[in-house]
Amino acid sequence: MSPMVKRQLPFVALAVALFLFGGLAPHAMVDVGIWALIYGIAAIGLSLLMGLAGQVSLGHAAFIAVGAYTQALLVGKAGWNPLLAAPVAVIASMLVALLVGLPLLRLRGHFLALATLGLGIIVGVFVTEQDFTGATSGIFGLPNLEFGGRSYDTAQEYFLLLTPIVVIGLWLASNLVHSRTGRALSAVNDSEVAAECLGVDTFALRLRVFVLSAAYAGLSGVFYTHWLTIVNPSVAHFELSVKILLMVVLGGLGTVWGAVIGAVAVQLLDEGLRAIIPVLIPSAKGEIQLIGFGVVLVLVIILMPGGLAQLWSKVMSAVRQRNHPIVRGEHEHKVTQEEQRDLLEESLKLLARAEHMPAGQTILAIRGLTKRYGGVTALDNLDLDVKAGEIMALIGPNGAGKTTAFNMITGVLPPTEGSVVLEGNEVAGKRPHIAAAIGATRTFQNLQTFKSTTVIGNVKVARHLRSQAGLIRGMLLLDRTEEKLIDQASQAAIDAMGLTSLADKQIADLAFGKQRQVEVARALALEPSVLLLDEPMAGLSGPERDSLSWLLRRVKASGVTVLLVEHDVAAVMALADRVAVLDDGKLISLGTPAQVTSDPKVIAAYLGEEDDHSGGPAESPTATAASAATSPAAGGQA
Amino acid sequence: MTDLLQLVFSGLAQGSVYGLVALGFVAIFAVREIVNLVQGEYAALAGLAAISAVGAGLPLLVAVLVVIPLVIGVAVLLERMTIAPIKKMTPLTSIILTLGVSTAVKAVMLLIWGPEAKGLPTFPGTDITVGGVSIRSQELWVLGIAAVVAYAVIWFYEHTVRGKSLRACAEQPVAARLVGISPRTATVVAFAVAGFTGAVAGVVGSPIYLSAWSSGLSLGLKGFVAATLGGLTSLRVAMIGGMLLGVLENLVAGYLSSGYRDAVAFVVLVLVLLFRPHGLASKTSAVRV
Amino acid sequence: MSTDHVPRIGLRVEGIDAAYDRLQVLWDVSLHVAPGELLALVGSNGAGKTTVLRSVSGLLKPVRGHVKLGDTDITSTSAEKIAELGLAHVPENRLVFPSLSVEDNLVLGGYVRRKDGRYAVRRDEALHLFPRLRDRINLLAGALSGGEQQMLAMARALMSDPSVIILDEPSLGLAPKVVAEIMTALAHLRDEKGLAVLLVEQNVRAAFKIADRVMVMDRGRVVAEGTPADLASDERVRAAYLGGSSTSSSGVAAPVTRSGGAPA
Repeated sequence: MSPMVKRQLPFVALAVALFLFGGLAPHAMVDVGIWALIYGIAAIGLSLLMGLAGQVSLGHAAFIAVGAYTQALLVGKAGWNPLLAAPVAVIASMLVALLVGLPLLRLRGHFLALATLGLGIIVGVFVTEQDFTGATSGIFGLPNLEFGGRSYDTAQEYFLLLTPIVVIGLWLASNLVHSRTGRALSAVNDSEVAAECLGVDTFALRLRVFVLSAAYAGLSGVFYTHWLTIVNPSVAHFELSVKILLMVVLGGLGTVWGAVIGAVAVQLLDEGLRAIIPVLIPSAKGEIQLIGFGVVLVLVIILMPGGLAQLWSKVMSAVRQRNHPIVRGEHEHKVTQEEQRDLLEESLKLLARAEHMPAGQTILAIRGLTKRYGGVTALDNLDLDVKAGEIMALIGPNGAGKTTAFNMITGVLPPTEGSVVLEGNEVAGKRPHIAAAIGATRTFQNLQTFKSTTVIGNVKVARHLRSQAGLIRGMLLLDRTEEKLIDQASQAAIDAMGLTSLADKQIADLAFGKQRQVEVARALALEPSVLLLDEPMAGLSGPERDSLSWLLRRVKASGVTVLLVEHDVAAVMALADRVAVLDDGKLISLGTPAQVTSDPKVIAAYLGEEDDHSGGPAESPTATAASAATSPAAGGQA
Repeated sequence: MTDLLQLVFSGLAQGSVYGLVALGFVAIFAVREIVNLVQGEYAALAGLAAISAVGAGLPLLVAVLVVIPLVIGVAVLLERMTIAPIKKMTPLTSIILTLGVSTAVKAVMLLIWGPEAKGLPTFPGTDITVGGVSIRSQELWVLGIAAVVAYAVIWFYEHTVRGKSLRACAEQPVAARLVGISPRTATVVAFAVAGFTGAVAGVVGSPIYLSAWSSGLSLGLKGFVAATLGGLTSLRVAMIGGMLLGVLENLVAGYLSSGYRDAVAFVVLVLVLLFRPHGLASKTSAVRV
Repeated sequence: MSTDHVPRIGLRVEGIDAAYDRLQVLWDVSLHVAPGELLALVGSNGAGKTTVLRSVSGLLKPVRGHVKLGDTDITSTSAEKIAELGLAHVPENRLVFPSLSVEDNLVLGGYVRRKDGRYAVRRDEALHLFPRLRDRINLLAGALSGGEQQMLAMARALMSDPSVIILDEPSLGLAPKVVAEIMTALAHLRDEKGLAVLLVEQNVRAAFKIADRVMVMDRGRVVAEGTPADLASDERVRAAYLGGSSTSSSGVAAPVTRSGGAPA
């Protein structure tokens, strides 16, 4: 059975189970089940928002309310057919989310959370204040749903109507998690800066997911309306928002299945608390079940942050381990260096692109680039032209401003002053995904891998810009052909780095040097026109360094421009066409390796003092570099 | 004109309650980057507890002086029980966690005090009229006490080693540990400060604005909006922001419709975040006093 | 100048392994620094030098091995407590408190000794060592230049009256003249105050000049140890500093000799 088919089985199982329950369970239980399913739809949406966008809505009831009221108005007051009204109700919820999300999703998670909390209050105030929404008494006397010759007025009928809606809603959500969008957002949650440098527009994707989650809530509101046949301001209440949130958290953050499981659990908890608390405390009045919600919410976060889903997978893996003790054999296929190089040649062909800027033209023009922090000038008025097709190295002592320059070129930091023109486009001060879309991507000095996934999972994120499937294609599984191409290209990039045997390993299990190589593979997979590498050699062994040098020459040969920050001065001198030397934030020298190594200013910067050749015991790196660069053996392998 | 002055004045009083709540948000956010959603509950709890204490026969002043340390104790205890055990605190975790705590606290208050809103007796004094603007003595109490408390909190951050250590923790947590400032102690102190300002807000505001199990929700939201005006890091701007918000609410309620009073905070929040996401003052990430 | 009234103690690290999450970055690192001694720790970026310092000062708990301050085992002690026990860590990038004044930075430097009433004495000593700070005492630390911030970070560390001071790349991004000033101050602390000094440096020349002993790290391990004179011409030093322990086939194979083609 193909894995794709296998992935559909749980949905079939869920549908069967729900149909059986709806058909066989006693009326009172089906009634509880209906509410679990109605709120479960909203919970699936909130689960997407929290799991993918990493944001939380504390007023999700507001979106349910917008959907419910819109449906009630259109059907009850305007006399629309409920089936026509439903899409409009869902769109109304989405529009509200769009308006709230536009200003807020760029900011840290706290703000959306509190703003949605406020939105809940506002929607409540609004519907209470307006006559057309029926003020405090709301809109009542709404019809039961009736279509296709059936009337959905009994609990059993309504449950069976809801079942396919919930199963399909869950299926779509689950597909989204595994799609290009889901992959990109999951990468953002691991490392926002790395994902953006690979072209992921975090804000745009988060906004889409937020709007989608409101659509689920709106749909939930539609079904709420037709089951209760009355809508009043209580639907927007904080209590319902807490309840939906609890469903997601109890079920398990990060899995949409958790939302449905959580919905059932919370609905049972709710019914139970309402029954038990008045018995225990006879004076209790009002929404006393909240105490259970609050306590469970806290306990889950403290004791079981993965919720019921985590518990489930723990049990399953314990069972599996007992049945099939896993034998971990290392299938390290030994490849000779020649075979490796052949493999690289093959895979590099896949990466070569035709449309690179002609060699020698200025691909990256930096003017007056400056970064100041308070009294410290990290980079001072840098002017630098990088030519298409060259390898330029940026060297200098630690703290000279090299990484700061990289950060401003790639949009990770906004400059204090100055401009960065990449292939004719100003990119200074813009988000990193802008530079990536033009063709510049990078690696990081401090590892920025996507820790929750595998090696190939990391590399696939880099294909974001080379693929198009959006939310809808992803949800409907219309992205299969494209996903195959993504797999192939990612595998090629991994092969090019000689990481073939590690492709399916969790990246967090790899050594530092290997993770660094994965970052390079990832950057290559974007098919960049400008590749910026921040100390790619650090932490690599000698042979790994040789391979990387060899690879970078091949990359250059295919027309890619490489900008390199590196401390391995000898390797740099052997590799680079031109070298720029920074010291104390200033560009002090620029030229061929030979020119730079004979520049007295460079020697002074590296020696730390002028003209002091007698006192220091350690050889200067510049001296070493010079000897390496002039040595016939230097860089002469491959 | 008199109407306007009247609305502005009572708005200032109402707003200084928001400001006190906002101080608590800033105190905690600065040290731990946690938006503490329990903040409004401290005020509701203080108001309700003081009402019960007075009901039990305690003089008003004594009731207030008992309740404030009690709420500080609750704030610190809840932090120890819920925030402290979490090893890796993300914004998402902190929001869910503090929402859970605030929900549970709300429900406990509902169980103890029931659903009705109640008011503490007004503090001693007589209402006066100045130039046609009638001023309730309680409003003067609110303004006066809020000013003293805000001043005291700012003084604490600016002039005591302990206060400076909290600022250090906020802007360079690693360096703060290296000079021997314990993040644990800093967190406890921050929650104590938040409990203190929240409790004061609750007892001074209760005679006019009443206390109920659920009043912490909107009070907390408004305090948060005021704190956001100060970029969640400036105590001064948070306090002033609270007062501005109070005035704005009153103007909307007076000239448009009283029903939309509660919508003002939300609109201000969205506008501030849209145009000045780092607050009204200059942008830095450190706590400013 | 020397106002010692406590016996100075040294630092000893015994076979530590350290990891960030699942990523191991140190293997079996041992070192010791005696009072009045300066040990320089050199190696390329990513060699693990900063991690050694973090493990010593309690910011990171080693997964194996021991760290001892004098006779006290501080392997599992919190960073705050270690500061109180007499170890000061001057972190990479200085990490001064930018929106606090220079004076307040010094006040907080003495946080663990805030009750002993000797603030004024220590403040005078620190400002004597770094006179430039005296003129800037009321400025916000964030407004200082890079060199002044480094001096402030060191002065702040001294305010806790430490026995052991560990420094992470104090020369980072600084002009040679300022680096010289800082190195002079370190020599003073060792010679006059009897401090045990552990110095992580990229500026190998500056470090070798003042160090009593040098240890070289490469990819998480100590690869060489000795006096500066011993190590000056050691292949491993250069290889480690430049990164990688390449063999002769690689591009970094040129031998190090004092006259090895110094281009000046």
